[in-house]
Amino acid sequence: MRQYILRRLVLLVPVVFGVSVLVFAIIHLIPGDIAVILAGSHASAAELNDLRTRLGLNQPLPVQYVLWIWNVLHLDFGKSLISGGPVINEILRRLPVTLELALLTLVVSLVIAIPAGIISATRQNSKIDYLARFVSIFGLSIPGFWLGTLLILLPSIWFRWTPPIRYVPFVDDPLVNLQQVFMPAIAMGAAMSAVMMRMTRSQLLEVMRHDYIRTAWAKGLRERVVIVKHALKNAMIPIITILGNQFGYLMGGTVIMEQVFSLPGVGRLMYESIFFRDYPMVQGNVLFIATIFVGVNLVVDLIYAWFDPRIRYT
Amino acid sequence: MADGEYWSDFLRRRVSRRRMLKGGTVAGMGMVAASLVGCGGDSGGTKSSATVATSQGTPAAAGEPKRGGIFNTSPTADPISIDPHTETSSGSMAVTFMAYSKLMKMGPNLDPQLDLAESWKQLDQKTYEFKLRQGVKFHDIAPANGREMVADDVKFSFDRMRTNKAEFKRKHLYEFLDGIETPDKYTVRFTTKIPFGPFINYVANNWAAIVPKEAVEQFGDLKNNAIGTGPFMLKPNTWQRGVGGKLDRNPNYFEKGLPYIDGINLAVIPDASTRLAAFRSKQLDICAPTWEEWETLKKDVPEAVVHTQHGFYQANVGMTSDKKPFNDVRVRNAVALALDRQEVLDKLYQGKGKLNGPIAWGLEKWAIPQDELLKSPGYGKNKTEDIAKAKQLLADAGYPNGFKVTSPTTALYLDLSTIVKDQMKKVGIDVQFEMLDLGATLAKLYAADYEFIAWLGNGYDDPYEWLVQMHSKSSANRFKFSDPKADDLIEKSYMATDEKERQKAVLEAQRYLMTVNPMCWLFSYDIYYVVQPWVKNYKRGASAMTDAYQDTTVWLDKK
Repeated sequence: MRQYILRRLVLLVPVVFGVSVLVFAIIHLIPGDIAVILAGSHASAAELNDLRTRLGLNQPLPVQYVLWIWNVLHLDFGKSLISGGPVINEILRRLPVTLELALLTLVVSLVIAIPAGIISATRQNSKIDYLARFVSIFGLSIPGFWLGTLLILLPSIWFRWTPPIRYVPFVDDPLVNLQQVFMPAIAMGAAMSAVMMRMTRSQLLEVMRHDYIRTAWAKGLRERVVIVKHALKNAMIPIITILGNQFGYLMGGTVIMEQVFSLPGVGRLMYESIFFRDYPMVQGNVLFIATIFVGVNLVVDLIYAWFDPRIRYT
Repeated sequence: MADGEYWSDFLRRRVSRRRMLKGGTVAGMGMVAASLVGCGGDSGGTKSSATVATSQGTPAAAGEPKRGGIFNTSPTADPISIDPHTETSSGSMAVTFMAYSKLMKMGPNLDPQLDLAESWKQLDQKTYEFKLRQGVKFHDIAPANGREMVADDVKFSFDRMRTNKAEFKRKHLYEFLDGIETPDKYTVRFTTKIPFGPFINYVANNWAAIVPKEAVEQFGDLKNNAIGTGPFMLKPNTWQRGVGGKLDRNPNYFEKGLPYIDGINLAVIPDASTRLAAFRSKQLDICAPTWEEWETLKKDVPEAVVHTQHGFYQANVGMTSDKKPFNDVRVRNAVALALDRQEVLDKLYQGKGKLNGPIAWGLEKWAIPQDELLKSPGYGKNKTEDIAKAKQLLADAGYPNGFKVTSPTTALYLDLSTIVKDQMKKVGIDVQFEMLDLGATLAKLYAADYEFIAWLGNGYDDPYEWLVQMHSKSSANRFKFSDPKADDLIEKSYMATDEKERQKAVLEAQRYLMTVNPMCWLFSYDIYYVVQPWVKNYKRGASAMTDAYQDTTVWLDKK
């Protein structure tokens, strides 16, 4: 097992390296000049050029890449071209926000999806199954941003309530923080739970047809034991895979919720940085998210072994 | 089973987990479905007896100002940097206008008033002398630590504004400033290279903040800190990009008794509808809706007070005059004739605003009077006649069947560009769009790397910037326009130092420019500021460039 984990961690290196080349190339390919954005409408061509030199943008691209990646290896992600502050400070300040939102979203989606999926599977083709499937199609089709906007607008109209303005981290004031985060978590969780619910349902349906389940019934075990202890555990593996994928998607896909609910997360940071062509920020951000994503996938793979003892990593 | 027995039996029976799960899931899904379907409470029944007062620069209510309270506001854009000498964004204004003071400030009618200066006089056509107030202290925050503001600080600040680096976006305003002398601790003398009419206005420019040298030396730049002499203070390292910060009342502010409020809570809320929602829920004390949004908001906050302000944001059409087809003045004049400015204003802003000449109508001191403007070619109501004339001009210029042009555009300007495109079609000009993002579009505009463009621009508080962008030697000329007579008139308009003379020269320059149309000016639209009913004495001056300090004299009537 230890060798397996080590091997996976070593494989992280070429992945992150490949990501770094890709993100560097792509962001530099977009037309648009950050010097113009920083300098405004009155700067002469000479001044713009001077600004670009000072920002290190006049060197050939491969040189810029090597300089950047060399610094990254020394854990120096550079300075934001827009705000002048260290990239890593900004990312580390924003990462917990997105992580908290992503985690809460997953929790919400599981809390809705697993029970709903179980009910649906055990009462297949009953009225409740149809209801659950209808709601899940609904959840799949609703655009997240629409739901998010409604969740801000409707309480403000009906109850004159909105989440507290100005974000507060969880460690500073958990109650205020949760008020700010629970609505976007519900908005995204509801959409995601649709996927999870259908996955749970179809997996359970498949597993329930197996012989060992029939044995369990034959032994006279209660329904709860059969489903949770025997069936669910076997059904979980694809569900865990999806969870890992969804988490990765959430890391970057929270932009809209962060915008609507004013949460200072990495999604919004990424969007702003791309808009402003803040190259070091975009590159640093993507590297972080890519690393987290690979890490999450590793954790997911390890969880498989816990669910299914037949899986051995050598 | 009889009824009575059924229920006691039910209650006695242990509800199985399966039943609980079943019941709970149904209830849960029911609630989710219900809330999604939106069959919620109905906000009807709120009377729209909206006694919405509109105020134009007059205090909103009588009564003795009360001390205390926190004013909650949200800038319309995330201020990524709060350096007053490099920034122009509306977001950073929220901080810089409160934390710093200036030598002079713009009064509500675009008249420069004293701020840090106690008095000033013009010694001759090119020399101005200012006497500073004595005993004004910087904020009691390191490294300034509450020391007195003196003439050297003014010199340092103005020199910094003129730093010859691209990111100091307003250095061009001071390009005619020659030298700054500080004969004594409280006297500053400015000399200009040529007689420069706008000089006083640029000393009173909202961004001409007086900053302490130590802050720049210690932090390198002022992007994240704001230590000045203003009515509010920002604690160091409390400003968080993307989140906001809190400004505290400056107890040593040089205007005794002010400000009334204890602080300003600045929360960055990037989404416009979220800001309006926060206003509804009374978490924000002010918001800036469009007229359409206000019509909806009105029903929920009937006691809110609306302040109308002449916006400076202007809709314009640009053309590059160095090559065909726009090098021919007849073609440009045809475009100016064909444009139906009122139609665009009606469609985009519900007609709330007025048409512009070369200087926005909000600068009443300098703009061509509306009655004269509306009689100018292209500004009248008879568009059929205008279109016929335009077609004739195009035919004379050699384009009887019109021509094709490309126009860079972006999501922000798309509505405007589409309406203009339809109008141009009527005279045979076929505008093809090149969709880019905002940064790329602006880059093309600033570099004059386009043929035709419709955009929404910012305004300026002095005619100089409005007119100099059409001067052949100006770095702000985005139209490759070169006309010696225009150059001459524009120069006359900024070299006049006597105000009456200047007004005459500015009008003459505008009238000439409207005959050669280097660009076309459409309109400026009104901006609305809506405040909660307990916000008293909220004033807005004639335009967006005035009253940087409206929060200084605001007070809150709350328990």
